[in-house]
Amino acid sequence: MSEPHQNARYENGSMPVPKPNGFGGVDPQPQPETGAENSAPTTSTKIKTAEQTDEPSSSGKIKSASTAMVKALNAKKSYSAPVGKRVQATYPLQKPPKNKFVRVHPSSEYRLNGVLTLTDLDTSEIYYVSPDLKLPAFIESQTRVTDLFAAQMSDGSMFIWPLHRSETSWYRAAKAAIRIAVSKWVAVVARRAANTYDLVEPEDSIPEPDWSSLPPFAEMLESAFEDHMVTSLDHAFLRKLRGFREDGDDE
Amino acid sequence: MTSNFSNYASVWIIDTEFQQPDGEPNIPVCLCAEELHSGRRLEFFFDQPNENPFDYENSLFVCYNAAAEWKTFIALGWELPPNVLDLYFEHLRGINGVWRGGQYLRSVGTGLVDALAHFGEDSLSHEEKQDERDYIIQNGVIPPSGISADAHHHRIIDYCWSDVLGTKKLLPHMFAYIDLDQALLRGDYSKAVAWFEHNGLPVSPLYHEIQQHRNELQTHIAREVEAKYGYGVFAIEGKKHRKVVFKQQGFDALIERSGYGEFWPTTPSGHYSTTDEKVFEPLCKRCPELEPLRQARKSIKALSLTGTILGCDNRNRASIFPFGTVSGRNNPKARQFILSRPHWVRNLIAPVKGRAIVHADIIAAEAGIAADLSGDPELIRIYQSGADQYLEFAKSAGVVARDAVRDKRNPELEAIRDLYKVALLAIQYGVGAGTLSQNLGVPLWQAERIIASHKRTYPTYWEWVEAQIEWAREQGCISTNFGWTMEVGPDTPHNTLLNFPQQAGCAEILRLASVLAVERELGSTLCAPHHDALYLECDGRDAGRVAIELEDCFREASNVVLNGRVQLRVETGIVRYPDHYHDEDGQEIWEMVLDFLKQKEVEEQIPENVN
Repeated sequence: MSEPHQNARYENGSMPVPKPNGFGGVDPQPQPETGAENSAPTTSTKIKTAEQTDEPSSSGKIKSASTAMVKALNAKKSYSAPVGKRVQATYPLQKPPKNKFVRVHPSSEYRLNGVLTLTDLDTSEIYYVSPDLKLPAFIESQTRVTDLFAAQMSDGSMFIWPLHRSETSWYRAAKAAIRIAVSKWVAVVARRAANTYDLVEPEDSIPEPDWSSLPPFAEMLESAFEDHMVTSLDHAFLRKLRGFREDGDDE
Repeated sequence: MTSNFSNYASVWIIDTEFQQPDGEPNIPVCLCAEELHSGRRLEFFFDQPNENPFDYENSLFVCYNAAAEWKTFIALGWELPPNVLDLYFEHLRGINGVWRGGQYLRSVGTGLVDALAHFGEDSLSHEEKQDERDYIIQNGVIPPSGISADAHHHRIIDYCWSDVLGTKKLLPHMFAYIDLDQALLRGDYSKAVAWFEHNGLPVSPLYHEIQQHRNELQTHIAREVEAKYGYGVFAIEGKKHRKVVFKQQGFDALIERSGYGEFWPTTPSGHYSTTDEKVFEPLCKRCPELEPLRQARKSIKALSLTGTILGCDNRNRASIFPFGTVSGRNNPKARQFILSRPHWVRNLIAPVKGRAIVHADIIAAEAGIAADLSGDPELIRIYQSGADQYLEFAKSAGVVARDAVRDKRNPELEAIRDLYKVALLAIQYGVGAGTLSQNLGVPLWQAERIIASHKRTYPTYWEWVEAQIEWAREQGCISTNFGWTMEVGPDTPHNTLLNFPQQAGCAEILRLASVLAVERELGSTLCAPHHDALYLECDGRDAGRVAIELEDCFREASNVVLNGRVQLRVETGIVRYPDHYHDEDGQEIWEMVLDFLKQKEVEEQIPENVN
């Protein structure tokens, strides 16, 4: 394991040193370790854990156990960061930024069609609305049917791309963009004058997206909608739409 | 605390005093030592020969700046002890990167007095110490007139004891913060440092000729460079004493004329900047036709520095200043150390008759270390394949064909390689898109893409390095696996952290390779470390064997320091008498210097007309 630098200061707090060790049989010496990736990842425990690799021991390459080599091997400890394969902890629900190239997951398991949503026009945040909920008519008229897609940006970050169904040219253009982004990297840039999107392909080649760290889509959705799931009329967002004060006092 | 040393049969705290004329080896004056278990004390005044009194069997030697003591041992012909705890190294480590009360602790002082003061212990003042050192340096073992031999002896011995007792006082304070395994490895390096500083590098007698004619040589270099390149920057001024002047106006005109005005940074007074490290050097990568000007300017400037770096035996003995940088690299003073002078000066390194210089250098050390520590498969593949890493990066970025091979006769390919070389080095140092765009002379969007393509191509490396930085910020420090540590505060630059693992890893490898060389009885051949290289000098007949042994030291050191994912490549070279070390980058100026010296020789052979 990596050794954290706890208790690692001069008493007056001025010296950064790794945790002090005893010697001469007083305290056992930590065994020398090799490799930077010798502990669990620090990111979300919900997500897949790091895969450990069995790296060859450096000591295996030493020809002879010289005194200096023995000292060096005794001296070697690991203070490096616990690096494992890092996975994204949360999955934002967002349109692709216009300055990023994106891809859409090709599998039907990573999309969900026909979800009822509400958008907070003040914050642009999207809320999942339970289809079982009986909404007041004036709120129901604001709901939209949304298709959700797992997507990835060229920097490797994942997100959920919401596509609100409508009869507009925006919808048709976005739908086309999603279809193309299944097999190609594209940046989606709005052309407001024509109420449509331009699709820009990268000039450099971008490696194929790696989807291997994605959890099941249901988990991604839970993460994306975490506190944005409207399952009762008492949900804070519905209360806001219904005209209650924000402190929750409905008297 | 002494119970913690019970595994050692003897624990000696020692200090020596010596004379150290500039550029010469130490001349021993005295030694004082106290053994911690028995309280036994030893003192020697070296006005007569002494045998080594120490029994090294299962012993530990504790010193403050041990290399100084070992230089005395070497001068006395004594063997060096096997186990060393150097509290100077440990104190440097303790205050590395530490700012307190607006002061950088390293700049406050790193001597024994400073270390004691750090723990609230009294000692001699800096001034008192300096007075005593001056007295010793001036007089050595011979008392000055008017001072009795006895008084002289006692004054020096008393001073030496004050350092032994100071070190003894310091030890319990520092002990709790020392990992002895790691400290002992660092302590071993003090022996290599002593050999470097005792031996130094052999330098050609041409050095003295150059020093003698340096003013004329400056003029010669300036004229030659102007004749060849027509920069219009150097002027020769002065009636009595001709000297070279670098004309800022001429430089401004040159930059304008070359069309570089758009991106060349200016000074507050509106002139184009000539700051070497920050502006001139990086921009010369983009504007290579200015590199001869930069080298000439540097050389002319360097020739003005009459550093007393040579001993009577024509050896360059500079203080190595081990652990002199935050990453733990050596930090010799550039003015004193021939390998830190302009490239052409290194051509003066030359073995004497019957001798040879052996040097070994890790190839692309930082790239190899980054590949190994991060485990990035693409970086490992490139390093292991021996392929040109810059061209490989260009390939990964999709700029050149996958099957492209470096061809120096293909100017288009070379230009792309050069561009990606600058980019790769800059990105590894954490450069932003704005600076990269300026250095490469490409639009911002292209610089952004180059950086993005690096992150895409080497994602494991970026994941690893970002985790290191995040961890360092959380922990408040960053360390090598051998415990060389730097404190990290909110103001620690991101780039320093980004580069720390490679730089500090490289320093660990170089130190361990040096330690192994000492263990394999190559200590007496060690001349100097420099960046990722070691220089040794030996009998010409042994050079081949020594080169193989040195390469082994590097290989084994890198195997221990790294994680076994990458085998660092080492390049060795041998320079035999009467040849001299060749530095390709300094060749042009070197030829000018040789031309000048030849002319001088011819002039001096022509008899003067006495009519």
